[in-house]
Amino acid sequence: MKTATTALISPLVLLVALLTMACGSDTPTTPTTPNLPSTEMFSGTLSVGESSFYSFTVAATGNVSITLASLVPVAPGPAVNTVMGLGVGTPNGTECSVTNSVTTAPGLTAQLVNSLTAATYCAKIYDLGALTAPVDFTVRIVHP
Amino acid sequence: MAPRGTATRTFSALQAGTVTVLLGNADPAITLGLGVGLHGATGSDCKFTQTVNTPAGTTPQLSVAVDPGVYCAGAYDIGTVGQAGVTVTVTITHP
Repeated sequence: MKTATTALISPLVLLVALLTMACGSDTPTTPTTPNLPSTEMFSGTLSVGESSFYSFTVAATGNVSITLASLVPVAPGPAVNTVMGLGVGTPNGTECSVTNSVTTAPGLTAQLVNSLTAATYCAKIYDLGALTAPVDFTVRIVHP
Repeated sequence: MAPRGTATRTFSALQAGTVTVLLGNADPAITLGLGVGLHGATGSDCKFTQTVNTPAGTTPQLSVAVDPGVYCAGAYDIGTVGQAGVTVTVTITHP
């Protein structure tokens, strides 16, 4: 008996469910893909008194975070805590015209955060006079 | 870990917070380099941000604030590892 009842009710339940779905007033929405930030690494070797820059493209207005993450004289040797110049600006020929900068030692939280519009920018690292020997550096850039 | 070698692991911090690194064991008991940082452009090496030379202990020898991202940490030879190598246990805590 229980089986028969179930057999009768199930099609009704299914019909109601289908009608409810067919008559619903919800407007289908278009799935959106979140714009995840891009992470770029800028690495190289910097000698005493030198600077280096890296160009990157911001796709939409948003925060650009730049982190001087590492200074290592000889990998995988000890890291050094030397204070360097770290800047952001716009590429200008073979130069990077810095518009905002900080002096900072390496860390793993962004030392330079700017809200920038969509365009091409550059990140620059430069010796402030504290380097006494070449170092391998790594700068992380996170941008829209 | 072999002489002049490194032993690092990669991990992801899903939110900002503090990463700690503990050299919990070294067999034989020697002083090693311990570092935390992030991978370079090639992703094949660990670019250290903070390092310390330390024997094994029970409290983290390194602690560093991080933004969300992918990081690495581990031990490296500072010239103390013999030809037989060393077995290390490194514990990383992260947000």
